[in-house]
Amino acid sequence: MSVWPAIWLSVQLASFTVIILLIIATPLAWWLSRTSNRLRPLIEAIVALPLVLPATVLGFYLLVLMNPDRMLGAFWLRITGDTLAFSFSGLLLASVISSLPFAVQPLQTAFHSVGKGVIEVATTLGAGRLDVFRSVVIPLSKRGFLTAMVLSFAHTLGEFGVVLMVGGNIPGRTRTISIEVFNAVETLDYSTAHSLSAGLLVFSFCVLVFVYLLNGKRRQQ
Amino acid sequence: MSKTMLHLDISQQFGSHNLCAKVDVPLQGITALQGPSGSGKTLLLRIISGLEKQAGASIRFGDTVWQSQNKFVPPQARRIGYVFQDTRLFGHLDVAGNLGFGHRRAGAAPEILQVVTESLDLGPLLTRQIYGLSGGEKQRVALGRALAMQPQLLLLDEPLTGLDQARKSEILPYITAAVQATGCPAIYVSHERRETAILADRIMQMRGGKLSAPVECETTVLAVLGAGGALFVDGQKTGLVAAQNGARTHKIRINTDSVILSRDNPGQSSALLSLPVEITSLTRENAGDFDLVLAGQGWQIRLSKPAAVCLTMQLQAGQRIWLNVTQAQVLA
Repeated sequence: MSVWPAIWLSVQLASFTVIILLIIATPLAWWLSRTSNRLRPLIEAIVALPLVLPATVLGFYLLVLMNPDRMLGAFWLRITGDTLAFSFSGLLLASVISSLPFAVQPLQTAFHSVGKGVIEVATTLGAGRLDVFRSVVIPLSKRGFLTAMVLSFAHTLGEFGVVLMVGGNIPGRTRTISIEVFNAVETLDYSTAHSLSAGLLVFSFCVLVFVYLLNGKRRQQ
Repeated sequence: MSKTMLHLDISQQFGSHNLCAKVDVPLQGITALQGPSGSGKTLLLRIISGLEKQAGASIRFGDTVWQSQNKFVPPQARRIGYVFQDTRLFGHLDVAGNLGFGHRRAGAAPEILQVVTESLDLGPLLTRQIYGLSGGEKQRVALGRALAMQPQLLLLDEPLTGLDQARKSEILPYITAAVQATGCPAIYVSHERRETAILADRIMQMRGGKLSAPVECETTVLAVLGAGGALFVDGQKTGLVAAQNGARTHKIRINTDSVILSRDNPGQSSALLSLPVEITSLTRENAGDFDLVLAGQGWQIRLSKPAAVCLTMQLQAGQRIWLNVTQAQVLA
Protein backbone atom coordinates (compact mmCIF):
# COMPACT_ATOMS: atom_id res chain seq x y z
CA MET A 1 0.00 0.00 0.00
CA SER A 2 1.38 3.34 -1.03
CA VAL A 3 1.94 5.92 1.69
CA TRP A 4 2.76 8.74 -0.71
CA PRO A 5 -0.78 10.10 -1.13
CA ALA A 6 -1.00 10.46 2.66
CA ILE A 7 2.38 12.22 2.87
CA TRP A 8 1.54 14.53 -0.03
CA LEU A 9 -1.84 15.34 1.52
CA SER A 10 -0.28 16.07 4.92
CA VAL A 11 2.35 18.38 3.42
CA GLN A 12 -0.28 20.19 1.37
CA LEU A 13 -2.55 20.56 4.37
CA ALA A 14 0.28 21.82 6.60
CA SER A 15 1.51 24.30 3.98
CA PHE A 16 -1.91 25.81 3.37
CA THR A 17 -2.54 25.92 7.11
CA VAL A 18 0.68 27.86 7.66
CA ILE A 19 -0.17 30.36 4.93
CA ILE A 20 -3.68 30.95 6.24
CA LEU A 21 -2.44 31.12 9.82
CA LEU A 22 0.12 33.79 8.94
CA ILE A 23 -2.63 35.91 7.45
CA ILE A 24 -4.93 35.47 10.46
CA ALA A 25 -2.48 35.21 13.34
CA THR A 26 -0.31 38.23 12.43
CA PRO A 27 -2.96 40.91 12.95
CA LEU A 28 -4.51 38.97 15.84
CA ALA A 29 -1.18 38.59 17.66
CA TRP A 30 -0.35 42.23 16.94
CA TRP A 31 -3.64 43.36 18.42
CA LEU A 32 -3.19 41.10 21.46
CA SER A 33 0.34 42.41 22.07
CA ARG A 34 -0.77 46.05 21.93
CA THR A 35 -4.28 46.31 23.25
CA SER A 36 -5.37 47.15 26.74
CA ASN A 37 -8.91 46.15 25.85
CA ARG A 38 -10.75 44.32 28.63
CA LEU A 39 -11.70 41.58 26.20
CA ARG A 40 -8.08 40.56 25.70
CA PRO A 41 -7.97 37.73 28.30
CA LEU A 42 -11.15 36.33 26.76
CA ILE A 43 -9.68 36.31 23.25
CA GLU A 44 -6.41 34.86 24.53
CA ALA A 45 -8.33 32.07 26.23
CA ILE A 46 -10.26 31.28 23.04
CA VAL A 47 -7.01 31.19 21.04
CA ALA A 48 -5.40 28.87 23.60
CA LEU A 49 -8.39 26.50 23.86
CA PRO A 50 -7.10 23.98 21.28
CA LEU A 51 -4.04 23.48 23.52
CA VAL A 52 -6.07 22.00 26.35
CA LEU A 53 -9.24 20.75 24.68
CA PRO A 54 -9.26 17.07 23.61
CA ALA A 55 -8.98 17.01 19.83
CA THR A 56 -12.12 14.89 19.71
CA VAL A 57 -14.13 17.61 21.47
CA LEU A 58 -12.85 20.32 19.12
CA GLY A 59 -13.45 18.00 16.16
CA PHE A 60 -16.95 17.19 17.35
CA TYR A 61 -17.99 20.84 17.60
CA LEU A 62 -16.44 21.63 14.23
CA LEU A 63 -18.28 18.69 12.70
CA VAL A 64 -21.52 19.96 14.15
CA LEU A 65 -20.85 23.42 12.73
CA MET A 66 -20.03 21.98 9.32
CA ASN A 67 -23.30 20.10 9.12
CA PRO A 68 -25.06 21.33 5.95
CA ASP A 69 -28.14 22.07 8.08
CA ARG A 70 -26.21 24.55 10.18
CA MET A 71 -25.31 28.06 9.18
CA LEU A 72 -21.62 27.53 8.35
CA GLY A 73 -22.18 24.21 6.59
CA ALA A 74 -25.15 25.55 4.63
CA PHE A 75 -23.28 28.69 3.64
CA TRP A 76 -20.35 26.66 2.36
CA LEU A 77 -22.62 24.30 0.46
CA ARG A 78 -24.34 27.26 -1.19
CA ILE A 79 -21.15 28.96 -2.40
CA THR A 80 -19.09 25.89 -3.34
CA GLY A 81 -21.69 23.20 -3.95
CA ASP A 82 -19.71 20.87 -1.72
CA THR A 83 -20.08 19.88 1.91
CA LEU A 84 -17.47 21.18 4.32
CA ALA A 85 -17.28 18.07 6.45
CA PHE A 86 -15.16 15.20 5.07
CA SER A 87 -13.52 17.53 2.51
CA PHE A 88 -10.04 19.02 2.21
CA SER A 89 -11.46 22.51 2.87
CA GLY A 90 -13.11 21.31 6.07
CA LEU A 91 -9.86 19.70 7.13
CA LEU A 92 -8.00 22.93 6.41
CA LEU A 93 -10.44 24.96 8.50
CA ALA A 94 -10.10 22.50 11.38
CA SER A 95 -6.29 22.55 11.15
CA VAL A 96 -6.19 26.33 11.15
CA ILE A 97 -8.28 26.45 14.32
CA SER A 98 -6.41 23.69 16.14
CA SER A 99 -2.98 25.14 15.24
CA LEU A 100 -3.97 28.75 15.94
CA PRO A 101 -2.25 28.96 19.36
CA PHE A 102 1.00 27.62 17.87
CA ALA A 103 1.08 30.58 15.50
CA VAL A 104 -0.42 33.30 17.69
CA GLN A 105 1.61 32.75 20.85
CA PRO A 106 5.16 32.98 19.40
CA LEU A 107 4.11 35.98 17.33
CA GLN A 108 2.54 37.69 20.31
CA THR A 109 5.72 37.16 22.35
CA ALA A 110 7.85 38.47 19.49
CA PHE A 111 5.68 41.54 18.92
CA HIS A 112 5.64 42.23 22.62
CA SER A 113 9.43 42.17 22.82
CA VAL A 114 9.72 44.64 19.92
CA GLY A 115 8.61 47.21 22.48
CA LYS A 116 6.83 50.52 22.23
CA GLY A 117 10.11 52.44 22.08
CA VAL A 118 11.35 51.61 18.59
CA ILE A 119 7.82 51.91 17.22
CA GLU A 120 7.55 55.43 18.60
CA VAL A 121 10.94 56.42 17.25
CA ALA A 122 10.06 55.03 13.81
CA THR A 123 6.88 57.10 13.91
CA THR A 124 8.77 60.29 14.71
CA LEU A 125 11.14 59.46 11.84
CA GLY A 126 8.21 59.72 9.46
CA ALA A 127 6.93 56.16 9.15
CA GLY A 128 3.16 55.61 9.13
CA ARG A 129 1.52 52.62 10.81
CA LEU A 130 1.87 50.10 7.99
CA ASP A 131 5.37 51.31 7.22
CA VAL A 132 6.39 50.84 10.87
CA PHE A 133 4.96 47.34 10.86
CA ARG A 134 6.65 46.39 7.61
CA SER A 135 10.05 47.98 8.16
CA VAL A 136 10.50 47.67 11.92
CA VAL A 137 8.13 45.19 13.55
CA ILE A 138 8.40 42.36 11.02
CA PRO A 139 12.21 42.39 10.73
CA LEU A 140 12.57 42.55 14.52
CA SER A 141 10.11 39.65 14.91
CA LYS A 142 11.76 37.42 12.31
CA ARG A 143 12.42 34.67 14.83
CA GLY A 144 8.86 34.79 16.10
CA PHE A 145 7.59 34.35 12.53
CA LEU A 146 9.94 31.40 11.93
CA THR A 147 8.92 29.76 15.19
CA ALA A 148 5.23 30.29 14.45
CA MET A 149 5.55 28.84 10.94
CA VAL A 150 7.60 25.83 11.95
CA LEU A 151 5.48 24.97 14.99
CA SER A 152 2.14 25.28 13.23
CA PHE A 153 3.45 23.28 10.27
CA ALA A 154 4.67 20.50 12.55
CA HIS A 155 1.56 20.55 14.68
CA THR A 156 -0.68 20.23 11.62
CA LEU A 157 1.36 17.25 10.42
CA GLY A 158 0.92 15.58 13.79
CA GLU A 159 -2.78 16.34 14.25
CA PHE A 160 -4.90 13.21 14.60
CA GLY A 161 -8.11 13.59 16.56
CA VAL A 162 -9.49 16.67 14.82
CA VAL A 163 -8.62 15.28 11.40
CA LEU A 164 -10.31 11.98 12.14
CA MET A 165 -13.46 13.67 13.45
CA VAL A 166 -13.81 16.27 10.70
CA GLY A 167 -12.18 14.58 7.75
CA GLY A 168 -13.03 10.97 8.30
CA ASN A 169 -10.69 8.56 6.63
CA ILE A 170 -10.99 9.07 2.90
CA PRO A 171 -7.84 8.02 0.97
CA GLY A 172 -6.21 10.89 -0.95
CA ARG A 173 -8.81 13.35 0.32
CA THR A 174 -8.63 13.42 4.08
CA ARG A 175 -6.33 10.55 5.01
CA THR A 176 -3.20 12.22 6.44
CA ILE A 177 0.01 10.58 7.74
CA SER A 178 -1.17 10.27 11.31
CA ILE A 179 -4.37 8.56 10.17
CA GLU A 180 -2.45 6.34 7.80
CA VAL A 181 -0.41 5.16 10.80
CA PHE A 182 -3.65 4.37 12.63
CA ASN A 183 -4.96 2.43 9.61
CA ALA A 184 -1.71 0.52 9.21
CA VAL A 185 -1.76 -0.57 12.84
CA GLU A 186 -5.44 -1.56 12.58
CA THR A 187 -4.66 -3.79 9.60
CA LEU A 188 -1.48 -5.14 11.32
CA ASP A 189 0.72 -3.60 8.58
CA TYR A 190 3.52 -2.82 11.05
CA SER A 191 6.22 -2.06 8.47
CA THR A 192 4.20 0.85 7.03
CA ALA A 193 3.35 2.04 10.54
CA HIS A 194 7.05 1.90 11.44
CA SER A 195 8.36 3.87 8.49
CA LEU A 196 5.68 6.57 8.75
CA SER A 197 6.03 6.90 12.52
CA ALA A 198 9.81 7.06 12.37
CA GLY A 199 9.61 9.72 9.67
CA LEU A 200 7.22 11.85 11.71
CA LEU A 201 9.28 11.33 14.88
CA VAL A 202 12.53 12.45 13.26
CA PHE A 203 10.82 15.42 11.59
CA SER A 204 9.16 16.59 14.81
CA PHE A 205 12.39 16.21 16.75
CA CYS A 206 14.30 18.28 14.19
CA VAL A 207 11.62 20.96 14.27
CA LEU A 208 11.81 21.25 18.05
CA VAL A 209 15.62 21.38 18.03
CA PHE A 210 15.40 24.13 15.42
CA VAL A 211 12.90 26.13 17.52
CA TYR A 212 14.94 25.82 20.70
CA LEU A 213 18.14 26.78 18.88
CA LEU A 214 16.36 29.83 17.54
CA ASN A 215 15.08 30.86 20.95
CA GLY A 216 18.46 30.21 22.56
CA LYS A 217 20.03 32.65 20.15
CA ARG A 218 17.50 35.29 21.05
CA ARG A 219 18.21 34.86 24.73
CA GLN A 220 21.94 35.33 24.12
CA GLN A 221 21.48 38.65 22.35
CA MET B 1 15.90 87.53 11.10
CA SER B 2 12.64 87.30 12.95
CA LYS B 3 12.48 84.19 15.03
CA THR B 4 9.51 81.97 14.61
CA MET B 5 8.01 80.50 17.72
CA LEU B 6 6.73 77.23 19.01
CA HIS B 7 3.47 78.18 20.68
CA LEU B 8 2.42 75.90 23.50
CA ASP B 9 -0.89 76.08 25.31
CA ILE B 10 -1.25 72.91 27.30
CA SER B 11 -3.21 72.35 30.45
CA GLN B 12 -3.53 68.72 31.29
CA GLN B 13 -4.12 66.61 34.36
CA PHE B 14 -1.56 63.82 34.64
CA GLY B 15 -0.88 61.60 37.61
CA SER B 16 -1.22 63.58 40.78
CA HIS B 17 -0.50 66.98 39.32
CA ASN B 18 -1.32 69.24 36.45
CA LEU B 19 0.87 69.93 33.44
CA CYS B 20 0.60 73.57 32.58
CA ALA B 21 2.62 75.02 29.72
CA LYS B 22 1.59 78.31 28.19
CA VAL B 23 4.74 79.65 26.59
CA ASP B 24 6.27 80.66 23.28
CA VAL B 25 9.60 79.01 22.64
CA PRO B 26 11.87 80.76 20.10
CA LEU B 27 12.82 78.35 17.32
CA GLN B 28 16.48 79.12 17.25
CA GLY B 29 19.47 77.52 18.88
CA ILE B 30 19.16 75.28 21.90
CA THR B 31 16.48 75.79 24.52
CA ALA B 32 17.19 73.89 27.72
CA LEU B 33 14.28 72.42 29.65
CA GLN B 34 15.30 71.94 33.26
CA GLY B 35 13.53 70.53 36.23
CA PRO B 36 13.67 67.70 38.75
CA SER B 37 12.74 64.21 37.59
CA GLY B 38 9.03 63.56 37.59
CA SER B 39 8.20 67.19 36.93
CA GLY B 40 6.70 66.41 33.53
CA LYS B 41 9.56 67.28 31.17
CA THR B 42 9.34 64.07 29.17
CA LEU B 43 5.55 64.26 29.01
CA LEU B 44 5.85 67.76 27.56
CA LEU B 45 8.20 66.54 24.82
CA ARG B 46 5.86 63.65 24.06
CA ILE B 47 2.93 66.03 23.71
CA ILE B 48 4.93 68.35 21.45
CA SER B 49 5.95 65.40 19.25
CA GLY B 50 2.39 64.08 19.06
CA LEU B 51 3.29 60.73 20.61
CA GLU B 52 0.97 61.65 23.47
CA LYS B 53 -2.36 62.82 22.19
CA GLN B 54 -3.75 64.97 24.96
CA ALA B 55 -7.07 66.61 24.45
CA GLY B 56 -7.11 70.28 25.28
CA ALA B 57 -3.58 70.93 24.08
CA SER B 58 -2.89 73.56 21.51
CA ILE B 59 0.43 73.49 19.70
CA ARG B 60 1.53 75.67 16.84
CA PHE B 61 4.88 75.49 15.09
CA GLY B 62 5.36 78.91 13.55
CA ASP B 63 2.27 79.26 11.36
CA THR B 64 1.61 75.51 11.18
CA VAL B 65 -1.00 74.15 13.56
CA TRP B 66 0.16 70.81 14.97
CA GLN B 67 -2.67 70.41 17.40
CA SER B 68 -5.83 72.32 18.17
CA GLN B 69 -9.34 71.44 19.18
CA ASN B 70 -10.25 70.09 15.79
CA LYS B 71 -6.88 69.24 14.30
CA PHE B 72 -4.16 66.76 15.13
CA VAL B 73 -1.10 66.30 12.94
CA PRO B 74 0.24 62.77 13.59
CA PRO B 75 3.85 62.48 14.79
CA GLN B 76 5.05 61.02 11.47
CA ALA B 77 3.99 64.21 9.70
CA ARG B 78 5.58 66.68 12.14
CA ARG B 79 9.15 66.10 11.07
CA ILE B 80 10.53 66.23 14.58
CA GLY B 81 13.88 64.65 15.39
CA TYR B 82 13.27 63.01 18.75
CA VAL B 83 16.32 61.66 20.57
CA PHE B 84 15.25 59.44 23.44
CA GLN B 85 17.07 58.73 26.68
CA ASP B 86 17.37 55.04 25.78
CA THR B 87 18.62 55.60 22.18
CA ARG B 88 16.02 53.19 20.66
CA LEU B 89 18.20 52.29 17.70
CA PHE B 90 16.95 49.71 15.20
CA GLY B 91 18.75 46.45 15.98
CA HIS B 92 17.93 44.94 12.59
CA LEU B 93 19.75 47.68 10.70
CA ASP B 94 23.40 48.72 10.71
CA VAL B 95 24.47 52.28 11.56
CA ALA B 96 24.01 53.50 7.98
CA GLY B 97 20.56 51.89 7.88
CA ASN B 98 19.60 53.67 11.08
CA LEU B 99 20.81 57.03 9.74
CA GLY B 100 18.94 56.47 6.47
CA PHE B 101 15.61 55.50 8.05
CA GLY B 102 14.23 58.98 8.64
CA HIS B 103 16.41 60.57 5.97
CA ARG B 104 14.80 58.52 3.21
CA ARG B 105 11.26 58.96 4.46
CA ALA B 106 11.65 62.72 4.84
CA GLY B 107 13.18 63.00 1.37
CA ALA B 108 15.94 65.06 2.97
CA ALA B 109 18.76 66.55 0.90
CA PRO B 110 21.53 64.00 0.19
CA GLU B 111 24.22 66.38 1.50
CA ILE B 112 22.71 66.36 4.97
CA LEU B 113 23.85 62.77 5.52
CA GLN B 114 27.41 63.85 4.93
CA VAL B 115 27.13 66.89 7.20
CA VAL B 116 25.70 64.75 9.99
CA THR B 117 28.23 61.96 9.51
CA GLU B 118 31.07 64.46 9.65
CA SER B 119 29.88 66.60 12.53
CA LEU B 120 29.19 63.53 14.69
CA ASP B 121 32.24 61.66 13.43
CA LEU B 122 30.15 58.65 12.39
CA GLY B 123 32.17 57.73 9.29
CA PRO B 124 34.06 54.82 10.90
CA LEU B 125 30.83 53.40 12.36
CA LEU B 126 28.66 53.33 9.22
CA THR B 127 28.96 49.61 8.48
CA ARG B 128 28.88 48.52 12.13
CA GLN B 129 25.95 46.67 13.68
CA ILE B 130 24.13 48.35 16.57
CA TYR B 131 24.82 45.38 18.79
CA GLY B 132 28.38 46.02 19.96
CA LEU B 133 28.45 49.82 19.85
CA SER B 134 29.45 51.56 23.06
CA GLY B 135 26.99 53.76 24.97
CA GLY B 136 28.52 56.96 23.64
CA GLU B 137 28.57 55.67 20.07
CA LYS B 138 24.91 54.66 20.34
CA GLN B 139 23.97 58.15 21.50
CA ARG B 140 25.86 59.71 18.59
CA VAL B 141 24.08 57.41 16.13
CA ALA B 142 20.71 58.21 17.72
CA LEU B 143 21.44 61.92 17.41
CA GLY B 144 22.63 61.45 13.83
CA ARG B 145 19.52 59.48 12.91
CA ALA B 146 17.32 62.30 14.15
CA LEU B 147 19.37 65.01 12.41
CA ALA B 148 19.62 63.11 9.12
CA MET B 149 15.90 63.56 8.51
CA GLN B 150 16.50 67.34 8.44
CA PRO B 151 14.01 67.90 11.24
CA GLN B 152 12.19 71.17 11.77
CA LEU B 153 12.73 70.74 15.48
CA LEU B 154 14.99 68.55 17.56
CA LEU B 155 13.79 67.17 20.89
CA LEU B 156 16.57 65.80 23.09
CA ASP B 157 15.39 63.93 26.16
CA GLU B 158 18.38 63.58 28.47
CA PRO B 159 20.49 62.05 25.71
CA LEU B 160 23.53 61.77 27.97
CA THR B 161 21.91 59.75 30.73
CA GLY B 162 23.88 56.67 31.64
CA LEU B 163 27.19 57.97 30.32
CA ASP B 164 30.09 58.76 32.60
CA GLN B 165 31.44 62.28 32.95
CA ALA B 166 34.26 61.73 30.46
CA ARG B 167 31.82 60.47 27.78
CA LYS B 168 29.48 63.36 28.45
CA SER B 169 32.21 65.94 27.96
CA GLU B 170 33.14 64.11 24.79
CA ILE B 171 29.65 64.17 23.29
CA LEU B 172 28.51 67.65 24.35
CA PRO B 173 30.66 69.43 21.73
CA TYR B 174 29.23 67.08 19.08
CA ILE B 175 25.72 68.13 19.97
CA THR B 176 26.58 71.84 19.72
CA ALA B 177 28.46 71.30 16.47
CA ALA B 178 25.68 69.22 14.92
CA VAL B 179 22.96 71.66 15.90
CA GLN B 180 25.01 74.53 14.50
CA ALA B 181 25.89 72.64 11.31
CA THR B 182 22.26 71.80 10.55
CA GLY B 183 20.76 75.00 11.93
CA CYS B 184 17.95 73.03 13.54
CA PRO B 185 16.35 74.47 16.69
CA ALA B 186 16.44 72.12 19.66
CA ILE B 187 14.76 71.59 23.00
CA TYR B 188 17.17 69.89 25.34
CA VAL B 189 15.83 68.22 28.47
CA SER B 190 18.22 67.66 31.32
CA HIS B 191 18.25 67.81 35.05
CA GLU B 192 21.99 68.39 35.04
CA ARG B 193 22.85 72.07 35.06
CA ARG B 194 26.37 71.37 33.90
CA GLU B 195 25.10 70.07 30.56
CA THR B 196 22.59 72.81 29.93
CA ALA B 197 24.97 75.54 31.05
CA ILE B 198 27.35 74.56 28.27
CA LEU B 199 24.74 74.06 25.56
CA ALA B 200 21.82 76.31 26.12
CA ASP B 201 20.93 79.59 24.49
CA ARG B 202 17.97 79.91 26.85
CA ILE B 203 16.52 78.01 29.75
CA MET B 204 12.98 77.01 30.68
CA GLN B 205 12.21 75.63 34.10
CA MET B 206 9.64 72.95 34.82
CA ARG B 207 8.52 72.74 38.44
CA GLY B 208 5.71 70.48 39.54
CA GLY B 209 4.25 70.40 36.06
CA LYS B 210 4.36 74.16 35.52
CA LEU B 211 6.56 75.47 32.75
CA SER B 212 8.14 78.90 33.10
CA ALA B 213 8.78 81.16 30.14
CA PRO B 214 12.19 80.72 28.53
CA VAL B 215 14.93 83.02 29.80
CA GLU B 216 17.69 83.92 27.39
CA CYS B 217 21.10 83.14 28.81
CA GLU B 218 23.47 85.16 26.75
CA THR B 219 26.58 83.24 27.42
CA THR B 220 27.88 84.76 24.24
CA VAL B 221 29.70 88.00 24.91
CA LEU B 222 30.67 90.46 22.24
CA ALA B 223 34.35 91.13 22.46
CA VAL B 224 36.86 93.05 20.40
CA LEU B 225 40.02 91.22 19.72
CA GLY B 226 42.84 93.72 19.45
CA ALA B 227 46.41 93.48 18.30
CA GLY B 228 48.52 90.84 20.00
CA GLY B 229 45.43 88.94 21.11
CA ALA B 230 44.27 91.53 23.60
CA LEU B 231 40.59 91.14 24.31
CA PHE B 232 38.23 94.02 24.98
CA VAL B 233 34.78 93.45 26.43
CA ASP B 234 32.48 96.34 27.19
CA GLY B 235 35.31 98.63 26.10
CA GLN B 236 37.61 97.31 28.74
CA LYS B 237 40.78 95.35 28.19
CA THR B 238 40.03 92.08 29.85
CA GLY B 239 42.62 89.53 28.93
CA LEU B 240 44.57 87.82 26.22
CA VAL B 241 43.66 85.06 23.85
CA ALA B 242 45.80 83.27 21.35
CA ALA B 243 44.41 84.40 18.03
CA GLN B 244 45.91 85.58 14.78
CA ASN B 245 42.97 87.67 13.66
CA GLY B 246 43.26 91.41 13.57
CA ALA B 247 41.05 93.81 15.47
CA ARG B 248 37.42 92.90 14.93
CA THR B 249 34.37 92.03 16.94
CA HIS B 250 33.99 88.45 17.99
CA LYS B 251 31.32 86.48 19.74
CA ILE B 252 32.69 84.59 22.65
CA ARG B 253 30.91 81.69 24.21
CA ILE B 254 31.83 81.39 27.84
CA ASN B 255 32.05 77.98 29.36
CA THR B 256 30.02 78.58 32.50
CA ASP B 257 31.79 75.71 34.21
CA SER B 258 35.04 77.59 34.09
CA VAL B 259 33.72 80.72 35.79
CA ILE B 260 35.38 81.88 38.99
CA LEU B 261 33.73 84.68 40.92
CA SER B 262 35.64 87.23 42.95
CA ARG B 263 34.46 90.16 45.04
CA ASP B 264 37.29 92.41 43.85
CA ASN B 265 39.16 93.01 40.60
CA PRO B 266 41.60 90.14 40.43
CA GLY B 267 44.17 92.26 38.59
CA GLN B 268 46.82 90.27 36.80
CA SER B 269 45.69 86.67 36.70
CA SER B 270 45.71 83.64 34.50
CA ALA B 271 42.03 84.18 33.71
CA LEU B 272 41.15 84.58 30.06
CA LEU B 273 38.59 87.24 30.81
CA SER B 274 37.80 89.23 33.92
CA LEU B 275 34.61 91.23 33.67
CA PRO B 276 32.73 93.41 36.16
CA VAL B 277 29.16 92.21 36.47
CA GLU B 278 26.12 92.84 38.60
CA ILE B 279 24.19 90.10 40.38
CA THR B 280 20.66 90.58 39.09
CA SER B 281 19.19 87.56 40.79
CA LEU B 282 20.25 85.05 43.38
CA THR B 283 17.88 82.21 44.12
CA ARG B 284 18.11 78.88 45.80
CA GLU B 285 15.89 75.86 45.44
CA ASN B 286 15.48 73.83 48.63
CA ALA B 287 18.93 73.16 50.03
CA GLY B 288 20.67 72.95 46.65
CA ASP B 289 23.06 75.20 44.79
CA PHE B 290 22.38 78.87 44.25
CA ASP B 291 21.17 80.02 40.83
CA LEU B 292 22.81 83.27 39.84
CA VAL B 293 22.05 85.62 37.00
CA LEU B 294 24.92 88.02 36.33
CA ALA B 295 24.56 90.96 33.98
CA GLY B 296 27.19 92.85 32.02
CA GLN B 297 26.43 95.61 29.53
CA GLY B 298 23.70 94.15 27.30
CA TRP B 299 24.36 90.53 28.12
CA GLN B 300 23.75 88.20 30.99
CA ILE B 301 24.96 84.87 32.16
CA ARG B 302 23.25 82.25 34.25
CA LEU B 303 25.16 79.84 36.43
CA SER B 304 24.92 77.93 39.62
CA LYS B 305 27.43 77.86 42.45
CA PRO B 306 27.55 75.74 45.58
CA ALA B 307 25.75 77.24 48.57
CA ALA B 308 28.91 77.25 50.69
CA VAL B 309 30.69 79.46 48.14
CA CYS B 310 27.85 81.97 47.92
CA LEU B 311 27.43 82.16 51.69
CA THR B 312 31.13 82.59 52.36
CA MET B 313 31.38 85.32 49.73
CA GLN B 314 28.22 86.92 51.17
CA LEU B 315 26.76 87.37 47.72
CA GLN B 316 23.58 89.42 47.43
CA ALA B 317 21.38 90.55 44.61
CA GLY B 318 22.40 93.95 43.28
CA GLN B 319 26.02 93.48 44.28
CA ARG B 320 28.80 94.20 41.78
CA ILE B 321 31.39 91.46 41.53
CA TRP B 322 33.97 90.19 39.04
CA LEU B 323 33.48 87.30 36.67
CA ASN B 324 36.67 85.47 35.77
CA VAL B 325 36.62 83.02 32.89
CA THR B 326 39.31 80.44 32.28
CA GLN B 327 37.72 78.79 29.24
CA ALA B 328 35.90 80.39 26.37
CA GLN B 329 35.31 79.65 22.76
CA VAL B 330 35.77 82.33 20.16
CA LEU B 331 32.88 82.03 17.72
CA ALA B 332 32.67 83.77 14.38
